[in-house]
Amino acid sequence: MRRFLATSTFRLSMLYAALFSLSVLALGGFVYWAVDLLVDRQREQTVQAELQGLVGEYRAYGLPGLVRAIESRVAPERVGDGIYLLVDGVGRPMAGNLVGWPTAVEQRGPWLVFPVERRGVDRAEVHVAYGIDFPIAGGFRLLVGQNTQSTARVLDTISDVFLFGVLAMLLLAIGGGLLFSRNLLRRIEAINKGAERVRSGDVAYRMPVGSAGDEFDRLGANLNAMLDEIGRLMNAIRAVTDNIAHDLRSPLTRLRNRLEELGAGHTSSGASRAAIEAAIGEADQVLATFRALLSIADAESGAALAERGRVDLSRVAADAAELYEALAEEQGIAIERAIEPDLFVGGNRQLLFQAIANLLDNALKHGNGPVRLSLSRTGNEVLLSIGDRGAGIPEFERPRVLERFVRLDSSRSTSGTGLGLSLAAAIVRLHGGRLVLDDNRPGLLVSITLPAATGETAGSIARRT
Amino acid sequence: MRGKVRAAGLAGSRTADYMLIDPAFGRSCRISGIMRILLIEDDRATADFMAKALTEHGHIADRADNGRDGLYHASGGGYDVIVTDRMLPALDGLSLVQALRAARIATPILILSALGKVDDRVQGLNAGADDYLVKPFAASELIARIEALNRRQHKDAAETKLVVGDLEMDLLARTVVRAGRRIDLQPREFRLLECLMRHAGQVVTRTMLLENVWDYHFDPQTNVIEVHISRLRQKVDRDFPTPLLHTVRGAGYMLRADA
Repeated sequence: MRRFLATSTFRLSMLYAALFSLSVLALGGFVYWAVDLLVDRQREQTVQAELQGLVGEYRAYGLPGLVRAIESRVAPERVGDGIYLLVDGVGRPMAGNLVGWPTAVEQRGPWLVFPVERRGVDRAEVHVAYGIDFPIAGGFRLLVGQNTQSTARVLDTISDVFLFGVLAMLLLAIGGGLLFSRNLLRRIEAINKGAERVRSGDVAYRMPVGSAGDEFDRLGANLNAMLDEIGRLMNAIRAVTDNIAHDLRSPLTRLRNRLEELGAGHTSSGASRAAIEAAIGEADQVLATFRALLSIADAESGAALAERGRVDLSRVAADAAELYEALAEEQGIAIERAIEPDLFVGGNRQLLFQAIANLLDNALKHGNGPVRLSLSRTGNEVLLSIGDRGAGIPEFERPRVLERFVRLDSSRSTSGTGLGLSLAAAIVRLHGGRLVLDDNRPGLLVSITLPAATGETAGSIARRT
Repeated sequence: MRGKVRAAGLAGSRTADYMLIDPAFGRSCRISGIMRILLIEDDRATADFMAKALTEHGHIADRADNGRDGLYHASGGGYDVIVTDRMLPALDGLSLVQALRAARIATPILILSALGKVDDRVQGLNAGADDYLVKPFAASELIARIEALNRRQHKDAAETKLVVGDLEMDLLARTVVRAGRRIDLQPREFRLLECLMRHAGQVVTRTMLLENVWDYHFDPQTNVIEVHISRLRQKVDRDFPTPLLHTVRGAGYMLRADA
């Protein structure tokens, strides 16, 4: 729900609804004002006309004529809003439908505003009435006016209609906005999810493109074209590095063999022998880099493992820790193990060992406190983490170090191909897992999540893998 | 999957099964340390290079440049080790290995391949090969592996004691004694020393040690093996006048008794 409320579509529809409500309210106000004015004027005219009529009667027939005229107007069968009252010099009512001279609450020119009480069958209502006080010779006074009740009702209805209308419109706008934004969100979300999938390594994924050809379809198609282009460029770069690695391996090995022959020759002196050995070492380093590069290419080629055995990851992790323990001890670093036994994953034992070994190697190379290797199971995932106490990797550089050949400036001086982490990440991806770099406070924490092997994939592990 | 499992099982039990009926067994030159090796490789340059390296080490190398000829020569027997490329004209390396094993010929086979993928290695071993080497390879690695294969073939299955100079290893009691003094070793150190003693006088490369002692085939980023060797050296050599454990620069390690 919150997600819908946060969409720009919803906000836009709300803004639109608010503007529309305001304009409707303004219109309502204007209508109200105009009707009020019209009704007032009409009332005045009616009262004036009535007064003229009664005065005419008075002029023609005198007081009795006036009384008759008033009485005929307030006869019970006559319905209307008219108010009439004729009082004598001492204020006694002589004719009309008021029981006594009212007390005016307000006087506007000749107009009096006064409350009247209308007695119904079972209740009495107090209404507001307008009237004109017209003095007649001899102290008599004539009051002609109108009850505003029915016009007030009209105005009330008008304002009710507008207020309810605005309320209903707001509700409709909220509902519609939610509906629109959900629909919009679904399509945007599909694109967002797709982008996330691609970012998390599923580079072959493409956005869904509908047949409607609307702006979303075009956006999807454009993104897909972009992804295709990125994929093509990445493949081109990868192919170049892989081909270089592949094609240079043979000549480099030949070079190394020549050097080895030279070194084995009895003619060489101690000094030149040392130089030859150093050269062999350099060649080995380059060859190791090429091998790592090709291993990454192999792991990334996407081809699923043909031999997917049940691997005792607990055992592999313990073996790796044991292999590196001697090296760690020599550096005065302890490898703390927290390995849960009997955790199995599906995959290739050698590759998984390679990944863990690379991470341990890294941790020992860059860390200066104890290295912690832990393996545990959560749900149907196996979590392996290796934490060191070194300088760690700043957050913004973490995604970059998983790329090939990326070595942070701080570690340029140390040996290594710069491919260890990339290879580990590629191996983990090949196994359907994730490798995440994190802050170990202080140090680097590498976490690998792999799907746990389910059930007994009976004997699928080849004995010698 | 199931087929591969069976193949793996066969490969595991093969050594013992075929030992007794290997027609080549009696005719090889193992006593003098000279080996007859069959190289089946269609790439001339690689074949030349291997033949040269083997000859320099005093071995005899015969060559075949396609799978069919290779199978013919190999079936004839008389070789200590067969080295075959994986991709060959006429008959590919894997089929050749399978054909030899089906014919109950147990000569150790080393498969060479430009394909370095992990699965390829597994396939090669499952087909019945004894070792797998990815091209391109160093001459020292090739020689070390061929010599190790030959040694494995001829070792006494009932061996209970290994002796190199004044160093003695009792495989049953799992004890090591040098010049009458007992040396205490961790289990892994014991296996490391055992591997070196079994290949005494030969270069054992770091990858071979990783494969045989740790049972993992992988590329270490740093020389982790070196540390284990130097620890072993501390125990085996430090208190004695003549060192037995030597580092062969650029190749690996060697346990050697001569002065």
